Amino acid sequence: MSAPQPPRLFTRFFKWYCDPRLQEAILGDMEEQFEEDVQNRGALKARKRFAWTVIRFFRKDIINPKVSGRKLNYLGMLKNYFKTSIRFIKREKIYALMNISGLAMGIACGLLIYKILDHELSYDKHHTNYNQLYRVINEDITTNGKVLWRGQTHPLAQALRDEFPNLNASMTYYEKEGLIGIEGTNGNITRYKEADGVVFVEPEFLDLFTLKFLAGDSQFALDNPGKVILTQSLAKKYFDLSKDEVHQAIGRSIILENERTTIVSAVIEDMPKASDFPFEIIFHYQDQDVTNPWFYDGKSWGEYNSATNCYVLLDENISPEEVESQLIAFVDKYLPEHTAEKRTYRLQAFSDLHYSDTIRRTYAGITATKDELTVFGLVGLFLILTACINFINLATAQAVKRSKEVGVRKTMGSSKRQLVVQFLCETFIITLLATVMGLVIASLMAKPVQDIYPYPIDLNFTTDLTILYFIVPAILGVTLLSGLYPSTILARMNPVLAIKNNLNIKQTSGFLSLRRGLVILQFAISQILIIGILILNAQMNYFQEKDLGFNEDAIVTVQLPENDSTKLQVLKTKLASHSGIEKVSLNTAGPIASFNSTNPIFHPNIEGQDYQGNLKNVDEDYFDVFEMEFIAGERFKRTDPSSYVVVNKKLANTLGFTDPNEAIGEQVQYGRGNTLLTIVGVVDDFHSSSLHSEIKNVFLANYKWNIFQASIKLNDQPGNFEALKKTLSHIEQSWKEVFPTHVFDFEFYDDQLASMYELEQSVSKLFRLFVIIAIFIGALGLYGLVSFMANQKTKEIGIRKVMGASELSIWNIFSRELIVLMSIAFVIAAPIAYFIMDAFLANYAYRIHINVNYFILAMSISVIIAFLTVGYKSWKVAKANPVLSLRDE
Amino acid sequence: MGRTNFLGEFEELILTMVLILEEEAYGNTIVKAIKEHQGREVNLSSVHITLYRLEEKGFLESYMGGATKARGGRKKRYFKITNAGKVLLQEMKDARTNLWKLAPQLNFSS
Repeated sequence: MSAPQPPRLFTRFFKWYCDPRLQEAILGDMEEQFEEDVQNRGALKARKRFAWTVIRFFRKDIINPKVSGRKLNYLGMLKNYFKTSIRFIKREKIYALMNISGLAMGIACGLLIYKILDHELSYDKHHTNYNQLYRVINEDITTNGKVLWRGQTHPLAQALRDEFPNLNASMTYYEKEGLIGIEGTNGNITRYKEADGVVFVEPEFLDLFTLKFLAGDSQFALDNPGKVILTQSLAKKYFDLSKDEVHQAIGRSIILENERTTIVSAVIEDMPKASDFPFEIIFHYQDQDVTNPWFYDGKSWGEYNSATNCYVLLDENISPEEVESQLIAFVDKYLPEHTAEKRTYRLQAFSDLHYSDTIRRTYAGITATKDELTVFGLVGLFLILTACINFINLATAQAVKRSKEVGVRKTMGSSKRQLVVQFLCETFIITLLATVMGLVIASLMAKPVQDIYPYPIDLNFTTDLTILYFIVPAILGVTLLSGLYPSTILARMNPVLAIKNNLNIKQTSGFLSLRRGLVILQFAISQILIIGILILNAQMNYFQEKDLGFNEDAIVTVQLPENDSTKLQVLKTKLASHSGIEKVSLNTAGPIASFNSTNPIFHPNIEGQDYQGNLKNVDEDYFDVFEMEFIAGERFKRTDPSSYVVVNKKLANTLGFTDPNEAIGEQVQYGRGNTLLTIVGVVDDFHSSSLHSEIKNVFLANYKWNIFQASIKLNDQPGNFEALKKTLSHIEQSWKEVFPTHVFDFEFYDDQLASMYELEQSVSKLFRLFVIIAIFIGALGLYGLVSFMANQKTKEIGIRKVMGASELSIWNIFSRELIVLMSIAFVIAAPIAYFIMDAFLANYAYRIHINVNYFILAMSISVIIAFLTVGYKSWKVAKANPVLSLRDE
Repeated sequence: MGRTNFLGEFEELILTMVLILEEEAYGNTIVKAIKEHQGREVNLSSVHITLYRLEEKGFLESYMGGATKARGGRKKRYFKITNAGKVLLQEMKDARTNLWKLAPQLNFSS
């Protein structure tokens, strides 16, 4: 084995910069030291020290004067380039401004999109066990095919822990909202209605997930029911503590839903924003019985809820497939037979959680698939690309003006490479200015974008270095992409012709076609974006205007925290007595609800087939409040048996009755228990969930339990805000009288519905913003293009005019080319846009159909924008006095 | 004392080391001696640069020699203190002793 050598790269570097007179002795010393270090401290340390010493020697006294001289000279040239660039920018202010603002827009949008992507891609990464965590999901074979879903039964994790010693598991039940009471020193209870963050977990959760404990012991934090973990901000809020006092929250009590008193056992840091587990107040799993009526001591293997999830932590050396195969026997052992026969448990990797395209919801909201993120990234890239294309167009348009300078430089001995470097320097400076401006624009845009995209966008790069990951490559990339081509064109010019200012089309025809290609590309990009936004908007309008089968207007929803029948009737009477209120219904949920109770249904007509039904408990006024239309039978009365139900047409059809009247009197079994429901009425179909999915089978039942909300139909008094205010305060008054120990809150039902399309709304708004910017950048580019054409054709136009051409016919020269380019772009853009948007619309069960109108509209919009941009410049050229252009020979 | 006769703390240290090491004073031995006597890790580059500076000021002189197999067969640059250097060190030592005499007596016993 040969002895370790000092790192060659550093030796060479040293030999390059070191003064030859000093070199031998120093290098000798360094090598001697290296050899000793290898002996005493090992090769790695020795190399490190050698490299460090080489770097430390790189200083004035040691550096070869020739090397530094060479550098100085180079620096001088750079200085000169810098100066000419600044002068040029100063001279051609409009040109520079167009370039810089176009690039700045592109960079600003790119930066914002980068920040959003950066946020999306960082989800859940803070968990130390990220790579070994899995969510247990169900894969069921039904008559409708394979279905993947995430809801689990409560005893699952315990059973997994018992069966498999080498994995750890925990259930989580995310209740989301909850009523929290804090007892003050004077015995008064302050109540907070938390809209997010209330969760129930098993103690094992703390082994699986990474929480940062500020106070309290993680080992005992949830070892028994009756304990609770708070985030720092909640601890501060509840107990009025400062940041340093949060440990004082330990041992204080928190009352959940006015019923369960729990003791704060630990305080943790707030969850990061990029987390699918937005937990703020973490209770023991057993404590959920006060808020979850379907908990049943956590023993039922038949009760599923999408908020109940199971997570497992695998040992490092076990593969998820191994566990999945062991779970096959597990399913048969634990699950009831009818479930077991169609069930396979799957392990969904944690890294798939936020990006899944099959299970699209997490506790924090909707997942972002990798495809969607890619499209978003492409939009950003397109924006920067259009800006670069602009730059190229504008720079080549200016090339003629720079020809004299290039000619002189060449005659003075400047090499091609030097010229390229010079113009790249110029591009670099422009890009740099554009980046600075882009940062300003981005920080101005951050506010409106944040209103749409609900996460803070931090653009402060003194605290957040990740911005540099974008900015530095962006500056270099943009400089090269947009600078390389124009600078080679300039450097290639024939000096003699250049000085004579006699550049003709022939010499530049090579890039003419490339320039055309670029313009086509740019047109195509903006047309795709315009078509996309038109279709997206149309789908949004469709959401708003689609007849849902019921009337959602002027309905106020208030929650009912208690299920006591007498109290509810008191409230209903009180509410209905007010003149501003037309009708009140007490029910489980509105016709469209994010929450549904779903169970299999059984009837002789559908023997052996898998059908599910949704059940909501309502009262007789429900049908009036939501204006539902009966097509057979009639509504039940309060005094009728509880098992009377009204169903929707879809359910009647599912049962095989084409005439809804035949369904009246039929009995349907709901769930696997012995619940038999008797159909007394059929209403016309109405949507029971967002328009993403089909209409479901729905039962509206006469049961008196699980009444969670009051839907209050207001008298229509459009614009009369005073009356509305009075009615609302009456509702609040009555509610508080009936439920003095709860916190009042209300919502308009149509707002609730609109929030189901929040994702689409924000996407379309973001999209619109970026499309407008893309169009703006494109318009700048067009302007540049026309300037270029005008420069090229000054003489031609002069001669034409002298020969008697009209202004209009000259204007035509410009427009003809534009129309041709735009048409080619359209031919490229239309199919791409159709393909993308059709795939997008396929997400919705109820969607608009793409027709030719969108394309015609998009084409006309781009033509109008193009002519508005080009019109002025070309008109000016057409009107110019031919003497001016011809005299200058 | 003129500007050229002024020595910084590190320069004085290096100069003293060259004096101590007599015939064996070159970059590496000085680094090691400082480590040994003062427990201080210094980088080879600082030592070299200071040596050259002292040579320029005329307190040291250097000669090449002592090629061995070990260090890639390269010669060492040995340093020797000049008379001016010795005088300067002596002066600095005297100056310091005089200053110490002016300081109030420290009584460590109580």
